[in-house]
Amino acid sequence: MGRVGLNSLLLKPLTAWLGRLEIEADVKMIEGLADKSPEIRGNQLGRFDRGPLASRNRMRRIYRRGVEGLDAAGVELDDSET
Amino acid sequence: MTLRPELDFWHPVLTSEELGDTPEKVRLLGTEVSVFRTAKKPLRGGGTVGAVLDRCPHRGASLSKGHVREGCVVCPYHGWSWAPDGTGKSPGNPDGRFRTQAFDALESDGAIWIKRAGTAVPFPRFDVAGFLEIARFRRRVNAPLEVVLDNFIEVEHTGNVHYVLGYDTHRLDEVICKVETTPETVRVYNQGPQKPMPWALRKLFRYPPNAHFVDDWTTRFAPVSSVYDQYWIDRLTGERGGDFLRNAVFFTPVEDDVTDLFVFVFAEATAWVASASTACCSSR
Ligand code: FES
Repeated sequence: MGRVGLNSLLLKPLTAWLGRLEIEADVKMIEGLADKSPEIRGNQLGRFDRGPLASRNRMRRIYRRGVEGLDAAGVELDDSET
Repeated sequence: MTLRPELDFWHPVLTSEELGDTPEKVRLLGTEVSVFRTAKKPLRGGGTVGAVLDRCPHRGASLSKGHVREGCVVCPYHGWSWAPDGTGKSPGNPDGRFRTQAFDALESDGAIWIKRAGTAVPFPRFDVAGFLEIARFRRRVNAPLEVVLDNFIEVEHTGNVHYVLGYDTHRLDEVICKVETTPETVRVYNQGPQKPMPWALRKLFRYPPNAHFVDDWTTRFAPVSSVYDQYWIDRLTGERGGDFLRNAVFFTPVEDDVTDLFVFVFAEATAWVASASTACCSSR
């Protein structure tokens, strides 16, 4: 279905506004965390945390040039199942 | 000066709009860098830029408080000038050979990017062919890179934290979350009931009733960035309905506890919609 009339004109400003709104909500939550330490050892994690866990390992190996599978304190992070 | 290994990768440090014809100071992983245009700012992107350590090697002035002349940044203190390749000239010492730390710098995709000079790493392209640019912006977050990234690579928070884009808090148990990894990437595919959305926005995004929202992203780490495909499908037929958004987010560590988000928002659109939208609100 094609986009017509007002919808086509509003696509850009409304979507841009919405994008900023969602980012602002994320930032407010992140900056208000009680614990902003990058350390996740000892946290209780759920099934939605598998992505972040796998990403931590790759960030350490590829971006930080550290050792995969070890967190800052040298404890292995198992991202195989959560 | 020892630079951190992460600086080997291209990082966005400013949006194109944030860099005018005078130098700007940016911080990347705690290193202060003076970024400048080597030629007048073009009407649209694609200008040439340079970047050198912000501290003048002569006696420590901040080069970002200087100005640009003949493609070089000129120090505001004694007038020494520094070229994008790091070579320096001193008006009072014409025979001197001077050098500062230079960075590779370029303007692309509406942003200014820098990295350690000479590293052979690919530029982090994201494919938006056929998409309309909706917005791009930088947002500073007072939190470490890892903590910021964590938020942007899980959807469990979207029910409580987001206004519109995300999943119904009361039906999070229905959300499918599949993780696929390669040695270099992490892809996460999420599909589940769209959280309630105001009527006007439902009309804007044109998604069907009882739609499932799909948020499918891949994260890469050289540099750290995620590209998100966000769309709706009919939960019974699995067919796509409504709009398709593609967003790229780059996570630039300013300091160990400060991170800049560079957000690039795109929507799938036909050419005539693109021209209508651009004519309506040419914000660039
Ligand atoms: S401190 Fe920059 S020229 Fe002297």
